[in-house]
Amino acid sequence: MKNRHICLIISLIIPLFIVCGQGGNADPVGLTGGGDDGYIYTDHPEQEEETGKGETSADSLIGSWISVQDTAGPVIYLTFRDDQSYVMQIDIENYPMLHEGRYSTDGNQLILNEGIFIYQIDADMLMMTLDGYVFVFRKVTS
Amino acid sequence: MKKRNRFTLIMILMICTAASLVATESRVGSMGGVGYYIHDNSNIFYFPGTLHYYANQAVAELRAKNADNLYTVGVQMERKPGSIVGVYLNRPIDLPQDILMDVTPDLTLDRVISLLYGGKWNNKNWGVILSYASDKTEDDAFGIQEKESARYIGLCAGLSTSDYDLGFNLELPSAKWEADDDEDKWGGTGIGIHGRYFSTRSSVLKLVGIGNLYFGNTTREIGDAEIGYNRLNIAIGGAALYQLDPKNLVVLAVEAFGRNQDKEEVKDGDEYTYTRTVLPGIYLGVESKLKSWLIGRLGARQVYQSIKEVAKPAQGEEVETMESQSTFAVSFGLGIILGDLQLDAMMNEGILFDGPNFISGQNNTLANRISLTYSFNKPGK
Repeated sequence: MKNRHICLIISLIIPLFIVCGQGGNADPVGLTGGGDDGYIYTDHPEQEEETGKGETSADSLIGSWISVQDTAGPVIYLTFRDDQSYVMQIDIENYPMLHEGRYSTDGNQLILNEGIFIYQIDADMLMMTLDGYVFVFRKVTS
Repeated sequence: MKKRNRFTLIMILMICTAASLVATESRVGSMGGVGYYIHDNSNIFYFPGTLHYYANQAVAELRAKNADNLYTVGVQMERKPGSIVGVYLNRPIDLPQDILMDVTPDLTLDRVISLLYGGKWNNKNWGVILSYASDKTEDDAFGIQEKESARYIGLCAGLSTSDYDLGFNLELPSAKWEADDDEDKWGGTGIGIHGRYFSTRSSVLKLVGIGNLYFGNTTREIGDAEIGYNRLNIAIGGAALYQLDPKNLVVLAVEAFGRNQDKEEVKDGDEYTYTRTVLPGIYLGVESKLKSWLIGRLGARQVYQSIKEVAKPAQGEEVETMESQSTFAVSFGLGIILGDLQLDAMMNEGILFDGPNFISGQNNTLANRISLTYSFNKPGK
C-alpha cells in the first residue's frame, strides 16, 4: 500500500514540472536519454506535429520544392503560393505534366486536389505522407 | 502442499518477470527516454550481449501513423541452448542526411537490415549485429549519364553479465555521385563504445552508472572542394532504479554531463563547429502494473543545455553564438498484455485535452507510437 502511495505521489509531482519547468521548443533530448524512442533519437515526425514541436504551419510551405525520391521516378516540382494556390509539375521523360489547384492545411494535414497528405517541415525539407507512401522535397526558393 | 507452494511461486515469478522481459521502444520512450538505464528488449542494439534475455520474440516498432517506412519489424529466436539468431528489417540509423543529400540528392540512406547472433563465453553473454543498407540510381536525362550510389555497413558487438553490459559499434558509410568525368563522394568511419554497470544496494534499490563515447570522421569531395566532417559524443550518467514491489518501478536518471560536437571544415577554407553541452539531463520514469493485463507508464525529461556555434571563415572574423536553454516534456503510455502478445503505446496527451473526434472535431490520434511484442516458446509451454 505504501508503495502505491509513493507511485501516486510521483505521478502527481511530474505534472507540476510543467508549471515549474522552463518551457522550450526544442526536444528535451540529451546524450543518454530523453528520445521518444527511449534513447537519444527522435525519429518521430508525426508526434512532433501533434505536440506542436514540429513545424507544420501553412506559411512555411510557401515557396518552391523539388522532390528527392529514393527511386529513379519522375522529378516533382511543387510551388505553394501565399494566395493558397499551388502548382505541381511532374517531369516524365521531359514531358512535364502540370496540376494546379488550391491547397489548405488542417493541423498536420495538407489538403491538395491529389489527396490529403500528412506533412512535416524540418529546416528545408518537406515530408508528405499519403497511404503509407512518403514523398520528400527540398526547398528551392522561399 | 509443499509442491503446490513451489509451483505457485514459480508461476508468480514468471508472471512478474514477464513484464520486464517483454518491452519496447514505446515502453522506454514513454518512461522519459530511460532506455540506456534499464533492462529492455530495445537494449539489444546498444548492448548486443543482452540478446539472450529476449530470445523467442517477434517485435514490431510502429513509430508513426501511416508511415510504413518508419516501421521496424524483427524476430530473435533460440537456435539451440545458448545460441540466439535474429533479423530486423528497416531499422533506423542516424547519418547526417544533409551531407548525404549534398552528394547523392536522389538517394536515401536511413534504414538498415540487421542480422543478429548471440552466444555464450565463460558464462558471459555476447552478441554481434551486422547491419547493411544500400541504395543506387542511374539516370540519363539530358544526355548525361548520372549515377548515384550509397552504402552503409555497421557492426555492433557486446558482452553482458548480470552486473554490466558493454557495447562497441563500428560504422562505415559511403556515397558517390558520378556524371561523365565528374565525381563527388563521401565516406568515413564511426566508432562508439557504450557501457553500464548495475549495483544492487537493497531488495528495492539498484544503482546504475553509464558511459557513452562516439567518434565519427568523414570526408566529402565535391568538385575540387574537400570537406571534413567529424562528430564527437561523450556522456556519463547514473540512475536509481526503485523496484518498489513486483508491480511498481521508479527510475530516476541523471545525465551528469553530455557533449555533442559536430565540426565541418573545408580544406583551406571555412570552418563551422556546433557544440551542444548537456549539464544535466534528468529523466524520470514510473511503471506500474495496474491489472494483470494492463501496465501504466509515466515519464518526464528535463534537459539543461547550452549550444555554441562557431563559424570561422577562411577570411574575415570568427563569429560565435551561444545560447542556454532548458527543455521539458512529459510522456505517458500504456501496455496491454493479451496472452503472448504485448502492445505498448505511447499515448497522445492531446486526446485527453480535446477529447475524441465526436466531441472536439479534432483529428487527434490515440497513440503517437505503438510497439508490439509476441513471445513464443515461453518456458513451461
